[in-house]
Amino acid sequence: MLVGEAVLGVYRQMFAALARDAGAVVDDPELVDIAETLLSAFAEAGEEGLSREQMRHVCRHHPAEAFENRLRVLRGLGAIREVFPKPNQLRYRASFTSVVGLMFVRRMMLDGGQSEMHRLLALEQLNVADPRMTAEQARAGAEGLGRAFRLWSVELLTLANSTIEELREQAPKLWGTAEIIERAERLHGAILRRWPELDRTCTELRAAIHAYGDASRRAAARLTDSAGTTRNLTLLPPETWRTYARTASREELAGVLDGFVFDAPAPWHDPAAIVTAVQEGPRTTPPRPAPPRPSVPDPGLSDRTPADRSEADRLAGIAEQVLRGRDRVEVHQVLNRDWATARRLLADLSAAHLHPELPYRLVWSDGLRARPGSSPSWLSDGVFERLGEAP
Amino acid sequence: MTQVDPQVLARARARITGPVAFPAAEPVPAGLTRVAAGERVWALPAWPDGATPAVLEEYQTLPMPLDRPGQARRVLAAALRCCWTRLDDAPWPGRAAALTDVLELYATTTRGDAELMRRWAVGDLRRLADTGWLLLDEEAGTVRPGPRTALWAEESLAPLRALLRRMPPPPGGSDE
Amino acid sequence: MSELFEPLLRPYDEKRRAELVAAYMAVEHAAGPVPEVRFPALREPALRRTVARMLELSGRTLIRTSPAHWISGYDDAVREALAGDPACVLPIADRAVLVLVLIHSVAIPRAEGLLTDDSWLSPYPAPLEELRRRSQLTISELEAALRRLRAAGLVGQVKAGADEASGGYVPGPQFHRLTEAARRRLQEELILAAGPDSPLAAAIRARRRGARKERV
Repeated sequence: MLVGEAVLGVYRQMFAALARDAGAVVDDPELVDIAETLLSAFAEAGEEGLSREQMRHVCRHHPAEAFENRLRVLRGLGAIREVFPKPNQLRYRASFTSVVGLMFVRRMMLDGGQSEMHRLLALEQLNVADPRMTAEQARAGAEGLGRAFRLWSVELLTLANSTIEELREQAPKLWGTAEIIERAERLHGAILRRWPELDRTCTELRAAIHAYGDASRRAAARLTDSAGTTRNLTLLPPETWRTYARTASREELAGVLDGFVFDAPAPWHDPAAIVTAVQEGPRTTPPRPAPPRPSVPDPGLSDRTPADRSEADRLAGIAEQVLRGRDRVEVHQVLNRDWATARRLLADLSAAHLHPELPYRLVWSDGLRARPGSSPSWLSDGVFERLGEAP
Repeated sequence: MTQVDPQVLARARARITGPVAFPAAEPVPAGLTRVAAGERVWALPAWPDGATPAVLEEYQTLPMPLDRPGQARRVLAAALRCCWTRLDDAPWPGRAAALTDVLELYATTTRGDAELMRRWAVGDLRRLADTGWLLLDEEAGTVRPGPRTALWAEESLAPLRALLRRMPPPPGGSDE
Repeated sequence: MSELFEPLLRPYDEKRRAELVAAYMAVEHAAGPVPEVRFPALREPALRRTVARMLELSGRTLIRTSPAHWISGYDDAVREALAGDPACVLPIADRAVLVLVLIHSVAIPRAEGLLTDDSWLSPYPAPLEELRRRSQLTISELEAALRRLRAAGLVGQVKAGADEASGGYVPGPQFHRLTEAARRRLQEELILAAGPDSPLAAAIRARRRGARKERV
């Protein structure tokens, strides 16, 4: 629900200017969920719209009371309207504006208004070039942007004095990239060129842009100086990292490690470890009587074969024990023992058969040999064999 | 910036580059072990009081991980069986043996598909050569012990000598 | 053989001497930081100083990775001096692949808030498929580089688990061996590379300019 809380936070801030009182904005994230669920259902329904039952159905996971409350408010505000496609048929349709509004909220939540600011700046740039634009409109636009930059700086500066964790979490949503500041300055220049009489407004806008750039730099500097040797990686969004990994050339990537040196691989093969490895390795010839083991303090550490390798060796050992030098052996001969042992052995032979690195095969024929009174009481006809040549 | 002692740099450099051969006429930086054979010389680490990284085991400390160490060491044993033939001498510098002999010996002493065993062994021989345990000349088709074998302490070699004596002789080579 | 260390070791009796050598070998060759409880020469500050001086002889330094755990790494001045030596630099493909692994295994999980420790090691593997499909490197280049990086302990391979967890590559044990300055530099270089326009990159550049001026 953290995300839901965040949506509400933005939502409250956005509509604070319009709210009649603090209680006028929803205070339960679930209510936003219901609105979103409804709006997406309307989008899928197309021009048919939805009946009341259909609306209740898509919101069936939410309590009836919450649903009714939401529907009442959304209708009251005109986000959902009643239509009568046929006499006596009541359907509902959603308003386009509300969906756009929610999209806007989501976007604000993700980047704290950075991309909205980009869009606003781009839009203003277009306006400034529009011959119909008046000096008064330009002044209003510049003043609005100036106010936004001022408030942004204040938030950043306040944040720069809070804890480093808080700063690290919030700053990326607030601080300005070089690009946003450049754009703002370009816009400022364009306004001033077309309406030199707006110089005072422009000076103020310029000061606001600089204050914002300054606040961004201060927050960034504090983070750069902060303790931690990986924590600041969080300050670039995951998408920035992904884009870089996808698009950077070999040379650009490699350049990151300029200034670093690493150890060459230098494994140590101790004479005792070589002896152990040969003695414990799979072999074709029956092992000769083993000499006394050299004093290796901890055999568990002396040769850390990966688990699957030692398992392969174990299975190979069992397979060779069963084969006893032969290339193939009838399964019923080797399983002729108590059931628990036979079952374990059969499991190992199957595992040897399935192991991709081991040259053994377990082949079953159709026959089933019943052996009343013996253990196991039935056996399939099958052979266990070694594949390929064995010297 | 403070200047770093060039000898200190030279010793650090040896760890970064790994064992690299240079002409025997060049001096080995002080504080490293000079290992020479013919016209080539290697600068290897010098450890205090004859210690080797094997000491880590006594302290239940894991060394840097190694892929399939058992297999690598069995391949090294097969190679040593072929190129360390005078077992009463030190393994270094040993003599050149035919690569085919090493592969053959490894394939016949190890269970499994012989062709596959040979292929794996070639990969291990390359890695052993990269890390200075063998000198591999794939063009000439020869293998020799690597300079790192000169770091083995004489008193640790008895079990390895005994093992190599028990191993079958190299198939094509002249066993002394 | 040990003339190099003799002046440092001579004052100690046999037992202390053996402890010093064991601690030295352990921090130089272990896969990860070693606990000082196992090594008296790391536990006692005076002996630890001697271990540090033994390391200094080869341009190494003692790094405390967590309370009571130690490992060795290249001294910062030595690292900087040798990084310009072409023989000391990893091949370009290896460096590129290693950086990709760092981004996928550390930077992205960090940016997504998944990592808590301030470390260059990570439990989140970069899948080979991801490295292949979403980068400018060819598959043969990738595979050859990953083999070399793995042999050097610069990346570790995580096998795909039975629980469908996908396998891949994570930074290897050599990343235990970076000094704090080296770890910090790695973070900065990654930010400069991936987000050159970010305010953070500007702050890093400004700080480096300031540091250079101070040196002059």
